[in-house]
Amino acid sequence: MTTDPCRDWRGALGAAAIGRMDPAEEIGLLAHLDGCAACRAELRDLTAVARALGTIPVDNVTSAPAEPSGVLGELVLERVAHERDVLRGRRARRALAAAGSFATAAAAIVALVFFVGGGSPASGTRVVLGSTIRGVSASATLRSEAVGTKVDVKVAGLRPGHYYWLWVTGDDGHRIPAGTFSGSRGSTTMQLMAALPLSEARRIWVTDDKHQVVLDAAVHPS
Amino acid sequence: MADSQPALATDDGVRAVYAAHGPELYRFAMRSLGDRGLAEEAVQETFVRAWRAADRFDDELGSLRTWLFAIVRNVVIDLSRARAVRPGLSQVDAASDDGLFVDEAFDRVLTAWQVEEALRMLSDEHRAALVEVHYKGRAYSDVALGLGVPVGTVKSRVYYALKAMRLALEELGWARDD
Repeated sequence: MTTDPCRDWRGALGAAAIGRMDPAEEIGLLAHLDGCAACRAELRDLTAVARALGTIPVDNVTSAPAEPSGVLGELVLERVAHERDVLRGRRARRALAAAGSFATAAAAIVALVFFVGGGSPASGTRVVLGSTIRGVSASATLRSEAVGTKVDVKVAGLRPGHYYWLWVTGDDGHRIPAGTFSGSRGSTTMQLMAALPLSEARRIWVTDDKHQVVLDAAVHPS
Repeated sequence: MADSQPALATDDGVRAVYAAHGPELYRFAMRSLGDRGLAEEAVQETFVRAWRAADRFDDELGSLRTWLFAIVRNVVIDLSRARAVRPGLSQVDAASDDGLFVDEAFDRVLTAWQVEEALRMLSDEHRAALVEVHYKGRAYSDVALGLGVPVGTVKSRVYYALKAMRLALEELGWARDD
């Protein structure tokens, strides 16, 4: 960093760096540089910056920069989510393969649990989804399945012909797609599946084709 | 564990990292590839690779931005090779058919992009002084007259603009040529 006595030479240093030195100042600046290592170092730095400036034409400086489309952020999110799903699928397949030799015993244990549990898995977890859009309503029942969570959803008021995505978010913050559907007149009931254990589900929500959330509810598995 | 892994581990984290760095990654890819579609593909692929490699990121070795730009650099090279699109075709003439053009040409595109981004990071006053004096070649006195300020003020603004440029360039991972 230059010291205060160097302050008067700052403008000249900048001019020298970009090759626009005022001849009237040149001798004085050179004399100062002879005795000031800090200003010599600074001039080297500024000159390197000035050389970098030469890598672009003036048009690039004055024209508006290219900006990404408004949906790129969501596309990035979807690509990463897809990658995550693929990885989860691989892990699940490995886990299933490892558990293969215990399949018979596991089936017996599951049967016993269901019997003792008194049918709770069949009743499922019911949620009512909220919406900020007037006339839109939905409810869903989530049931645990061997391959994930089955979602029976009843929805009304979504725009006919428009596409919607149903998502289930896990306790680790990851969202898992449960499927797509299109809006229709009246009330529609459908069955979708998310590759996520019901015990990990924390949120169920619907987005439209502009990636806006149109329905949403927290999930509290029993 | 590095800070970036939690940042990229959830949707909200990915969204936040995209908001902070996505547009400049896009501008870099756009400047390199010269095609909007390819540039958007490059940004998506960059985030996927970053997500896969998040546990290898060490914030003590460099910033998240620098790390992301190292990734997008490789993505752009891969896309260029795969689709026979030459980086920065409109500006860089170093493309050759033997595939050896990449490093030198790419580094020139990279520096050009860093300069553009650094210029955008300047204050309006500093940028205007630098553009008028350096890029447009106007005399200090003319610029001072136009702005209604003393010549010394314009000189001072050019000096501080260069200083700020240096900091901004270093933040963007600029490799000096000396």
